[in-house]
Amino acid sequence: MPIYESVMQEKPPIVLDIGNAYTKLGFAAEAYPRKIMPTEVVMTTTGVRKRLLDYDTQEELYDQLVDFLQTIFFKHLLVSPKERKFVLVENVFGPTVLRETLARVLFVHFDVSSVLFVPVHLIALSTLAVPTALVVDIGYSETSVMPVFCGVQIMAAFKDQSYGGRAIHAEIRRQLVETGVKESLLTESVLEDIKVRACFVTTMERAQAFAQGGEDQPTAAPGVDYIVSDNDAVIQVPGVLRETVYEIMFEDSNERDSLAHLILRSILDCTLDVRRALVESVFLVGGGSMVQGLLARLRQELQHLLAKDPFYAERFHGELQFKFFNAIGKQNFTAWLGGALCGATDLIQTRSLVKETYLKSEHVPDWSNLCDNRPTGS
Amino acid sequence: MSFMQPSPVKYACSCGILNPINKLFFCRHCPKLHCGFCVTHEIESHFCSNCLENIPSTEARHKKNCCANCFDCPCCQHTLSARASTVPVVRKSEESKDAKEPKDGDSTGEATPPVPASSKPSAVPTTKKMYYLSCLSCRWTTRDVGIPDQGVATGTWPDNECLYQARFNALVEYFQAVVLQEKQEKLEFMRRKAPKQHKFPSLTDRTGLTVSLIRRQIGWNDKVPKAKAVITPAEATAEVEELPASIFTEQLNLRNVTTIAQRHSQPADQPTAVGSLYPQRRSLWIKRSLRCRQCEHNLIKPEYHPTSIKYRIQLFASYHVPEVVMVRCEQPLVPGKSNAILLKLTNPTMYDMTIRLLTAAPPEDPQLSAETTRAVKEEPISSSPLLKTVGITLSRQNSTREVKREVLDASNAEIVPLESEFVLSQRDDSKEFDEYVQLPTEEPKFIVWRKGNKVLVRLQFTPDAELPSSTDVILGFFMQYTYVNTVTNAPEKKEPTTHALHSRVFITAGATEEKAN
Amino acid sequence: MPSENRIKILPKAVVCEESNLRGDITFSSGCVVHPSATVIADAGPVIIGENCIIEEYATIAHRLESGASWDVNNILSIGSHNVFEVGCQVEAARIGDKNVFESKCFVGRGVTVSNSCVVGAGIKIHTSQLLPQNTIVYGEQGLQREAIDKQGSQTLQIDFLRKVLPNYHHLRKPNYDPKKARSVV
Repeated sequence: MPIYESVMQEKPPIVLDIGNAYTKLGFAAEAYPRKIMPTEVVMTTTGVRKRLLDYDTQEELYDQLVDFLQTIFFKHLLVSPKERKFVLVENVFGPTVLRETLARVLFVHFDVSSVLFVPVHLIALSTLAVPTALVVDIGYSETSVMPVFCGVQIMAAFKDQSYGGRAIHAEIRRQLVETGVKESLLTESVLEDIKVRACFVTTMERAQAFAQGGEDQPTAAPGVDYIVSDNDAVIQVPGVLRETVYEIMFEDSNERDSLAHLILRSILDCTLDVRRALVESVFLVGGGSMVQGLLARLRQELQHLLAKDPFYAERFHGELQFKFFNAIGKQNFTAWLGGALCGATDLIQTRSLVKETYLKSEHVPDWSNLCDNRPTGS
Repeated sequence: MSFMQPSPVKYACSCGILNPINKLFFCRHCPKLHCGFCVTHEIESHFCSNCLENIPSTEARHKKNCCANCFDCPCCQHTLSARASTVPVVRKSEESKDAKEPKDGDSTGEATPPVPASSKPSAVPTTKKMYYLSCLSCRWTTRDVGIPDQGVATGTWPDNECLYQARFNALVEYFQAVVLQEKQEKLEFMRRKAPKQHKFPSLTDRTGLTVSLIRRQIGWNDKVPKAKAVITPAEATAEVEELPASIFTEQLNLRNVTTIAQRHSQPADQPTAVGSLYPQRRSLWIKRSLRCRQCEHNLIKPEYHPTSIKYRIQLFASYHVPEVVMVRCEQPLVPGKSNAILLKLTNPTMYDMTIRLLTAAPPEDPQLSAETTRAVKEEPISSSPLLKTVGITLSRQNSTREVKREVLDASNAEIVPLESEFVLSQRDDSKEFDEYVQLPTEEPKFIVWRKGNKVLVRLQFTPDAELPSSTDVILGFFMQYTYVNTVTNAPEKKEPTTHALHSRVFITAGATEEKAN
Repeated sequence: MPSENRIKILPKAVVCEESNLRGDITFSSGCVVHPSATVIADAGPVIIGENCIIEEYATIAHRLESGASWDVNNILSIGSHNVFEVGCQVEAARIGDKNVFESKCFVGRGVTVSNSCVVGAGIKIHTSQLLPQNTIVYGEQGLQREAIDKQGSQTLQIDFLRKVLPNYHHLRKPNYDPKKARSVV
């Protein structure tokens, strides 16, 4: 081990978690990312900021990735990517084209020595040192639920919905425009700032009262004046908005697709034996889960559905108490932290996709690709 | 000149991307044009952009790429500056020393304000300089968050503490042990299985000689330790943090809540209250050197010292390739109507150049291609299907994998090539100041004006007839020029060689006329 | 509006001759007004408190609203120890004590500035609002924060200016008797 560690200190692997809104970057075996930066590129030709993952052609994506990674390596991490090892945290159901292009950029353009792809839910769990949990990842573009039992992802029970940071932003915009705020003021950064600094998840009782309307509404939390500095205007953010924007995650509709339903349905899709274990170990990760009051509300909703909803009452038996894990560090980089842990072990030597293998086939092995999963296949 | 705005004249780089000449580099060994995309970037040196101190790369890595002395404001990310204030220290009463209210130095920077009158006439008033950090942009100070003043300016400001560092270390150790154990079990398994699979027993496989040898040398037990790696797993709890009741009644003061940028600049703890913002160590900058991917020669190598802005190697294209500047079009641009454009060409080199403007690619310089093939061993990777389809051969294995792109030919005008070649004389800085009398020489018709190393050329063209109105007319042509190379790949030849090189040039001449209604 | 300017300068105030002053303006003692600073009192009297510094090209304007006319009771009162740095333009409704208006900033008409505020360089505030105590407006986006530490006062600078300015500029004479002023107040 001492020999190994000295080798480690030579060139620690780079750990990247490229999210839809923010990218977490740093080195393996470090307890927090060096930097959390918006997943945006500044176009060299026009100087316009643009989301990295907005692209028309694959070549455009390739060029944007080159630019983006170039900034990461030479502005933030200050290391040459050449002959480096990488850990990339990836979404299990992410687009193949992104994965392939990323691999091509790293191997072909930056000449890296190996890349280890790790699935976000599983690797986030490794920060807890427990083998079983129901991992809920609340990101920017979607919220996904993946049960993990004894270190194995139960793919069949994977659930996702499109409410995440982006949907919250849209909801804030909708509510503010309704109160007569000019839409041009509400840029994405303003919406994000309002969300982060003013909004929270209210309790179930209050939310229901707000939803029903009528006379006996609770007094909403005090509103706040938000100054939009670019245009020098003041937006009145009503207290009701602060409390209720997150209701889109808990909406009680016929679709039955609120976050609580998603979790319960995902558990039901697993076999009988693992359900109790999953109920007692829910793990929320992702930047969206850092909002105040979310966990309390989710617990309330889950217990409520379990007791009151006939559909679930029929299927769940016994005294069930939902339990939650506390992440070490902040939830928005939990998955990155898992990658950093993984990169610190010998797995980086044994499980990575190395350059030579990649260049032989120009292809990244994938669990969903039959070619890579035939018993005789390489 | 079009300063700070996109240049209308673009050169095609050898990788196929169009760039203005000031963004291009010229490799004298290949000899080809390169752009930032098709060269390898390397880190030359680390330095702090505030104190301009050079920091060796090992130290930089150890310090997590942060400067030891400089800090950034956690509030606005501006640089913090140290400010001095004078604190009276009364020798006589030791107890009251710390209780003294520090007198704020009104002066900026290090200047000492007048010593305040001592409160106790009996005590000997001595003063001590204390430092705090302050931001000149948003006036944040370390006193805002209650960090005590320090005795030395670059002193011991509190570092980011990571609350869960111990837990993280335990996790790292645990996983390393688990993986190692797994590996050993696998090895053991393979060892047991091996004799059945192979005809010929391998000595090392059977005995695991190397492993046990090393283990014995280190002084460990020869046997694999059976003790399992242990760690207390995290525990789930049904108790979750409820919303504080005050949130529904208390007025929210946005000034006390950090923005997301402020949170992210402190990734370890991401504070939500402005009271927990701490000064952040300033991250270092780097100097980059660029290397040609084909021949691995340096194109750009900066001087080592951070205060120097000079280069040791600087192969910018504008020092080697004739520069084309668009002067003007003779007539408004009308689709289908013949027109002419005036171009100014400048020779930046110390040798005369012979230039031709062509519409089709001239044949490669035979001498050049022979030389390059001789110089670098051909080592094509036949296994890569991606590269096979493109059909380029790789000179060296590790650096030229980037796929060459087709030059995006966007030209939409018909060029009348110049009827003959012409000579562009060498650059001579001394002649600039001479009273230079132009000798009446026989000039080709298309040359409008000539002075020193500059020449004004009239190029005739016709925009395509079916161009819609107010679209950019783009002229594309090949410029062939002779280049005298003072460095050669072959060591036996000492005298400079002359190559006929060419580059594709695209000029955005302007938009076509609005159709008169 | 009164036809002629009524400038009251209390003793120990240093007001350069080349400053542009219009209307009814009172400079309390200890003020320093640089050359080519502008104070406009169109809508009503402007009273500037003690030890304020008004630097070059700074403009303090008390403008007429459209349709309104000169009103003696419409006083723009500016507290003491304020600094108006080079090129700032301040049209605020009321200004308290110990504020700093940094270079080239603009403070619009409806803004009320309380005490110990700092408006950063180049910041433009148009919207009517109250800047609470210790507010600091800074940065490209004009973010606001609250300072906990007190801003240092400018006594050293004011002492220096009081010494140096008379050597190089013609000054307007203090023309207002403090005893008389006291009897008025």
